[in-house]
Amino acid sequence: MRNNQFNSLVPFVQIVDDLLTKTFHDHSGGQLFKHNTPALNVLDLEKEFKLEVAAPGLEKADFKIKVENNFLEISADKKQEITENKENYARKEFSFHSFKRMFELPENTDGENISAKYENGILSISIPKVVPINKNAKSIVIE
Amino acid sequence: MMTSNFYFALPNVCQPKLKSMASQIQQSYRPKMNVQQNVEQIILEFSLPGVFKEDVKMSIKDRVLFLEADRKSAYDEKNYHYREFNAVHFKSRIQLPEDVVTDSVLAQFQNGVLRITIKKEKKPIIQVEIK
Repeated sequence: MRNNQFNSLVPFVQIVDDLLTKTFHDHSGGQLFKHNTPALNVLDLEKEFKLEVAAPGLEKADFKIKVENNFLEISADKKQEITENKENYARKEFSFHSFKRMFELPENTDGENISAKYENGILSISIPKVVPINKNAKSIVIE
Repeated sequence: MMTSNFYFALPNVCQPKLKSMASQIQQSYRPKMNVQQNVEQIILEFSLPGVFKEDVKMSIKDRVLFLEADRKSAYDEKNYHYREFNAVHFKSRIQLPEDVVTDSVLAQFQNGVLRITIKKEKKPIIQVEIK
């Protein structure tokens, strides 16, 4: 089956946004449409996939990561109303938003052993790859 | 069968173009900034996710604040399947208002946000004589 890149997990706005982001090459990670969604990198490493989420100004405790039915859900909940006094802002280009992003895990990943850390405003999530066991392969002993 | 997962869901259709562009990019970007002001102080906040404290340089001269920071990439370019943010050089030059006291500057860097607090001069109260 052909891999459909534009599937239901990527809403139309995000597709357009991805194209625009890449076309205009916005390095700051500031998206054109999805102001609430932090920028994301996906790394394909030898033993794991790594997701990097640029979410500055939050605390470790603000994040929630869960795996349910092979779906990975990353969210952050910041009660920003408490700390911010809107009237004092002379200029506001970023804020510490709550967000939610959801992904289906690829087949060859180990959802049980996902680990995460939050450092310098980047949340990085390691998803270990599973070495596929080929059940059909069988070595035949020559007698 | 291919499933729709984070790996395939994120299109890398623009990746070759992105990579060729990435190699050319060595210019600087202005980091996103918040400014809060009141009568006592001015607070500048810069969004610098992925930047380490030792890669931030800040100075103030003649009421102009200079900020430079580097976000380095820990991984090789070929390992990135999908990319929304990149290794980048941040640079910013901010003219501060006239009433700041630049010898009392507090800079805190936490969770990718640099927060600079600069005190303002205490203005004397001028009594107006009513004739």
